[in-house]
Amino acid sequence: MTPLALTLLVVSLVVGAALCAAGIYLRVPRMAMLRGALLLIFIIFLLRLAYWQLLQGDYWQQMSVYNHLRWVRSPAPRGLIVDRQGYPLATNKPALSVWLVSGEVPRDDWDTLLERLVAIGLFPDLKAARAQLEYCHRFPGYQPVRIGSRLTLEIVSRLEEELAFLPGVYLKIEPIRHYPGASTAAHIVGYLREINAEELAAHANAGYRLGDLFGKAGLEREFESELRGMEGGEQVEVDARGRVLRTLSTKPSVPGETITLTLDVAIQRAAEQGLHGHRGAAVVLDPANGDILALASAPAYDLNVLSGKVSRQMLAWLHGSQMPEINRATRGRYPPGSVFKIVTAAAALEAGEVQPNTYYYCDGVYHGIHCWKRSGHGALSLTEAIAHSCNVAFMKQAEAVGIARLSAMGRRFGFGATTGIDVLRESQGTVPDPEWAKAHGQHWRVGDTLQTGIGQSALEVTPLQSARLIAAIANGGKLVHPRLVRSVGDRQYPATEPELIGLKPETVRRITRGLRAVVGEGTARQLDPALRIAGKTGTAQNPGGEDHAWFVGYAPAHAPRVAVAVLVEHGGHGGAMAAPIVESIIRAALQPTNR
Amino acid sequence: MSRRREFGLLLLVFAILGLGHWVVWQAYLPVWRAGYPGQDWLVFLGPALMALGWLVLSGILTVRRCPETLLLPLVALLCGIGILFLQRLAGGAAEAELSKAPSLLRDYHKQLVSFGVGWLALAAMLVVKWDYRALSRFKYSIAFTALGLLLITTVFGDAANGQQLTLNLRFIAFQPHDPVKLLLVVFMAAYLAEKRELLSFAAGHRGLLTGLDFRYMGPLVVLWLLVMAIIFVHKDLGTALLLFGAFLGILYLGTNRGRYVVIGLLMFLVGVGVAYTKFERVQTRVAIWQNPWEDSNGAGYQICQALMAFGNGRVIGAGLAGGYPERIPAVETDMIYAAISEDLGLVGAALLLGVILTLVGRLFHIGLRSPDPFGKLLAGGLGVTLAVQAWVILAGVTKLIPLTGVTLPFISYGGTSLVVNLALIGIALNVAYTTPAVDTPAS
Repeated sequence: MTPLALTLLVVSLVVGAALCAAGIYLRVPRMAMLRGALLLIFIIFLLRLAYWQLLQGDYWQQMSVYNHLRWVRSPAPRGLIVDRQGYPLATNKPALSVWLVSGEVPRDDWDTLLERLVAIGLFPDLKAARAQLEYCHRFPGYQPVRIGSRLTLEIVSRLEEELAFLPGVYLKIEPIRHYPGASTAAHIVGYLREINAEELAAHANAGYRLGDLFGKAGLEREFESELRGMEGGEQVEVDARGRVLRTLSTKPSVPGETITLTLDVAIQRAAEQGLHGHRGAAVVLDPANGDILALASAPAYDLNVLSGKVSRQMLAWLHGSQMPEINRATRGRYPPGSVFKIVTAAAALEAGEVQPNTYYYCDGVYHGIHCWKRSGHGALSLTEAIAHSCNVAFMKQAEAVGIARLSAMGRRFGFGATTGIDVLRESQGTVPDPEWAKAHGQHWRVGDTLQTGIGQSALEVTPLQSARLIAAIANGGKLVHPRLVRSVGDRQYPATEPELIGLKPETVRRITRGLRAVVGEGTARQLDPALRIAGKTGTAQNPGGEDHAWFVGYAPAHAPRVAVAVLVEHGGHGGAMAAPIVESIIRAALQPTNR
Repeated sequence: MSRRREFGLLLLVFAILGLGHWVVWQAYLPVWRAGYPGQDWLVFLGPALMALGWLVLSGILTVRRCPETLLLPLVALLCGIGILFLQRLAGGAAEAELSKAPSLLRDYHKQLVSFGVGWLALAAMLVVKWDYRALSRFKYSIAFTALGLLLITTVFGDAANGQQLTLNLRFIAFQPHDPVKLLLVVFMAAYLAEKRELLSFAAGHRGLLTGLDFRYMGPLVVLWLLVMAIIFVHKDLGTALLLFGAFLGILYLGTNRGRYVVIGLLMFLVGVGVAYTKFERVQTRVAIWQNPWEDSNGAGYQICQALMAFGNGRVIGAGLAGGYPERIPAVETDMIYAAISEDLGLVGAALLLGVILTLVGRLFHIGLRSPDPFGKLLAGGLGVTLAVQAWVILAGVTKLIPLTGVTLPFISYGGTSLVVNLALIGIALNVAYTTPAVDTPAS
């Protein structure tokens, strides 16, 4: 077409120039020349018009009569979310969906069409079908609108049978989001829902349309723009049945970017299995660089279920008292209990309050606060105090150190502040001191200092913060910066170097000795010695009922490769409930096939 | 005797248009019943008043003993077709339940009002005893007014579609490019008529670049700069092309030298070439022209829809109100010819073209009959302007050249354009019946 137009132009210019030259040579009057020139260009135009209306007429008429041109959007494959080995956590799979081109439905056939669709089972009743119809009319008549997705095989086969009697209805294969791990890392990965009006308004310039999917939670929401990619499409000519005759132009879609996590699915699964049936959280860190190897929160939910039509019971459960949507690992705030004794010991050692020959005498009660062992532990070294988690010994340490230095040490280990993984929502937790008490209208007493020393009072920590504490002991006194996202597309998110928090090597060495003794002879001595776990149990009293069970630990003790924190809400004794879960996680993590 | 011919022709025009309006009324009866509750005959009120207006003008011309009898019926037909198609598009859009239906109906009413304003201007020009030669005395004031309008538009203009072409004076908004066109044509004609005497002695040179007269090169360069400014600042390729084309036509008429036309065309091409490399907007326009399929649902949608309309029209058309050109974007302005071609086919479109060309020829005729050099150039120049304007938009619509946004004279929706073009007719009629004073130098 275009070469022809150009040829026509060139030829007419040449002819025009020749005619002008001839006119000048023949001394044609200028008015006549002008008339001739104008006539000439209008004749060219008329030829052009005749070209469209006669020569090309058939072609264009067919195009116009049945509105046969359609822009078929080809959605960009959404970016994958994969673990550190490339194992997919969120992927795409083809699925059938039903689309309606409202402009192709004859005006009088709407009711019949809706009745048929209800009979097929696409809509529960006529009312729902009519609501969907309202929605379709918001789009131009030629634009296909999705009226059903994730169809059951039964509905698909019935639709296919009746497709010939359903004007404007098309079946289309399109990629849908699929989470192969179902509930694996559910709180991290998040899920998609159809975009709502507010989100549509907020992202008006990003080219979203009603019916598009939009990240509603987790990384799917956090990295929506990166995962989404760029939509493409095809200009196609179709016959009356909607079969594509030919493609006029194509704009390829650009797939979304792949997000690689630091997670290890094998460890993540072990953590989730360990928590199964409980409420709680587990965090596994690489103590060397802060990589999050697993981060689990229980109860979890099947992401594939949440992506589709959510049942009423499911909805009630989601919004119920169990609060499954809260990521307990980063947002849950719990009293740390005896886990905090690591901090107390560190503060006392740094302050020089514990010498190698220092012994604590426990007679079962101190300042009216009981040790968990009512009969008392007798004389204990620091190692024994940690191993047996003696409250009296640590209350004495806390009293000697004082609340100022104790709370400062807590903050040095990262408590009372978020850990800085921007991609997940986090709680700060609380490290109380007299100023905090004042700000909250309370009076700080000596008893509060003692309680803080054993991880009670108003102390609140998240499981992630606890994992960071144990990682700092495991790596010799460096606070790690947890990293969850390793790369987005080509962009690397490098790990941040762990920071030394200024502990003397002797402090770390003596705490480590205590943590090994916990497993060797202390509160968690039932654990498999072959795994060489070092750790600390915690049994945190709380106003909600039964104690929370904690265990923080790392392994192998001589060359730590993983640091783990597990919390089981109202799980009772840390050594009995949380420690076995940590053991199973560490067993999975240290398996040669995994790491 | 000949006045009776005009009256007869006007009645013929009214008969044709009346038939058209009746067809459109019948075709979209429900639309008019909803639009004018209980009084759907109101659809005919505007066109009827228009007809009355033309008869009044014809009467004035009779009183003033105007020898020109063809101009009025031709313009009445063109204006009538414009209004008829606006009404038909409003009806079609409403029936197809397009979202632009209310605005199209509003445009139809606004265009009727604009016609009223233009009619008042035209009637005033015919009633008041004035002499078009007065324009010649104020030629520099006229030129500066035109420049001032352009300047004001540049500073205060409202931006629409990335172009700054509308001047909004709160109570009235208009597009200054239309009056600027008329003012510049008047100026050029006056300027060249004045310098004309000097020309006859400078003849005899051969060759393209030898013996160029600065008296003609001067205005050529100045106008070229102006047109370039319109392209670069206002980004309005259509107006630039039409102004420059009209100007070259007048220059040729005034000097009888083809070389200025050739030089001017080359200069214009250079300017457009530079604009092409500089502006993405121009590149887009050219890209759409080359291959509208590239983005046939976005930028190329309009031209693709227009081509479908042409294809659907074929030889005799789909019939008035038979096609569906209302789906073409901007059909009431840029694309009105596509709508006419779809409904009336190649035959109707060619006939309409014939009417436009007859009008242009009539303006030339007035020029030829005027004994006054200014009158000759003025009428001829107005004819060239109308012809070039029509060609620029028609060639754009048929994808012969890149599409630009100028109006199809008298037919497209656009108040300023209609008023200015009616004023143009007023000037031409004045040239036709003003007897030049005896003391004009004999040629």
